[in-house]
Amino acid sequence: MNAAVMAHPGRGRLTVGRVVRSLVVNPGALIGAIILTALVVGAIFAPVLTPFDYYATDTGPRLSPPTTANLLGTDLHGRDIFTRVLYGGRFSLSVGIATVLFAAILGSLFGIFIGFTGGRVDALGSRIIDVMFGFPSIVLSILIVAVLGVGLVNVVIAVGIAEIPYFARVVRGAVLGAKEQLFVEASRALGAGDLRIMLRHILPNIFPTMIVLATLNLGGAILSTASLSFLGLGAQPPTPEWGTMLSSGREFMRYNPAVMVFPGLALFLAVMSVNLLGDRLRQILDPRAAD
Amino acid sequence: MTYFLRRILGMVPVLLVTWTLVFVVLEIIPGDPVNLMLAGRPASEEVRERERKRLGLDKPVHVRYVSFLGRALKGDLGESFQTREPVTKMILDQLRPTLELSLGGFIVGVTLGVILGVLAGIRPNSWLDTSSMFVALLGVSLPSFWTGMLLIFVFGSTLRWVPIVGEGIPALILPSITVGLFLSGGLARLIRSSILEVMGQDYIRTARAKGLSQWVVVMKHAMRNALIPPVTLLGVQFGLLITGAVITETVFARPGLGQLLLQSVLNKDIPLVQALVVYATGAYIILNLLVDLLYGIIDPRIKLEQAS
Repeated sequence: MNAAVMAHPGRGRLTVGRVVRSLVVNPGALIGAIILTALVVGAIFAPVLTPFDYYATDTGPRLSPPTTANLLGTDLHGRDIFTRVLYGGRFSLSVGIATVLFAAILGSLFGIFIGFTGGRVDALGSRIIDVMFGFPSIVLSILIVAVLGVGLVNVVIAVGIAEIPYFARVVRGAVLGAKEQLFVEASRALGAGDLRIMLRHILPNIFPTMIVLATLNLGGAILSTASLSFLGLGAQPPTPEWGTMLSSGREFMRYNPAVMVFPGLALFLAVMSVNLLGDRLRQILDPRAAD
Repeated sequence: MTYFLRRILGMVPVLLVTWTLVFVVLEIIPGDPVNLMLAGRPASEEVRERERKRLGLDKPVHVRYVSFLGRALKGDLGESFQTREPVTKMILDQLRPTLELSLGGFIVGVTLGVILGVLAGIRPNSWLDTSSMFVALLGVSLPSFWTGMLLIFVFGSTLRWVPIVGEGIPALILPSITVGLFLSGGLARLIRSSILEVMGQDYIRTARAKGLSQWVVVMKHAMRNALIPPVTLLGVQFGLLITGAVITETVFARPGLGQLLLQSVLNKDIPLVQALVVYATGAYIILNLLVDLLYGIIDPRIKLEQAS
């Protein structure tokens, strides 16, 4: 697959191995990778790492501070906060990833379509992108949730739609650049149709750009989806989603700050580690951004 | 003048498309508006019919669309399903707390963003750069609802340094920091890269060669040019301010437009949602226009380029 081997004029070939190596030597990216791995492993192996079920109440005294039995304390219903924070990664992280995938796929298709077609289609499409940028994204997300209804899947769609213009704009620009390249002309001379050129030649060519963009947007997506859940528009209690946990913990933080501190810390660490990785990835794959 | 006129005319399609979008979106919201308005109260078919007529819902969709656009222009967007008050009045009533919060957040965010960005930009790759950018990273990664709760817990309930409810400046401190931190991260990064770019220019070398001090070079020569890209983004920051307002008002239980928007969506108060979105986009567009004009004042080259 072309995504694994990315042609980079003048810098040799960037392979996945090389990208990984240059991520590891950067302290920020290394810290990001370690934290993110820990959160992902915690979410996947949660059933092994904790004896409790995330819905189980009265696993200890209610609103208890951290103890040896309840590592991070318990919430109002005596549910184990450590367990809920671990399981929370399953919801918060996958919702963020789903959002970015949704936006990346629709945004790129749109960007490729208007960039490749050009002319009036491009002019109109670019205008639509401008209008979407002009719409404050939280207003757009809230509006979409108003239409679709409250819930995690709808939050993915709502935040995903609000992020489409980021991908559409960059992909359109990249397509405009790639369109003029010799290999596109060559494959057209060989009789390839528009669709084939777009999917087989242009799409793989802009893949590195997309990976960087997706990583850079992932932190924001995790944050936005958690924010909507915090506002009561996404996951509903007792789902152990980090934003929802913070929302339920708000009233009881006076009695036990742990209900607010740890879900928030997990969310913050997740977003920060993704941002650290994204920044480094951008420097590697887009040398102009490096200082 | 023609430049400004062209800019203003360019806004018309954007407004039209956005308002059309708002109309369409709310048109397809499931549920009969009359039912939403009655909120479960029993009513005879006669009453329902009268309400439908009063709200203009008996007219075909294109008539309602044209009348919606007309009313949007006049600033008369009907009355709330919930309170029966004119929505424009409801919005005006909640405007002040949100403006105060936005202004406070804006001041904190810009101050912090400029300080961090300049410190990082004038000494790239120094410890000053690394630590400033670390703070900026915290700014973009901290969930503002969590920051708000931590601030309330530490400075409000535990240390009791500042009030967390009430009116006036003291009660505005923690919410402003919450919104400001959220704004500052992106701004600091932008100012840093902008300063880095400007510091490499020939005229900075000339200024240095003249024997000017570092302070004068940075403050008088570099800053003015380095601030152009961040200023263009001030318009975009408006979107972040709205996000900040919705979340911060929820965390601090403050009244304001963010709360009004959230409640109107949860209650499916369609006229109120419609009005809020219409005004928010209008404000956004006017703000961007002002930023463009400001841009021309900071950098006279831009106006000349546009005019030629």
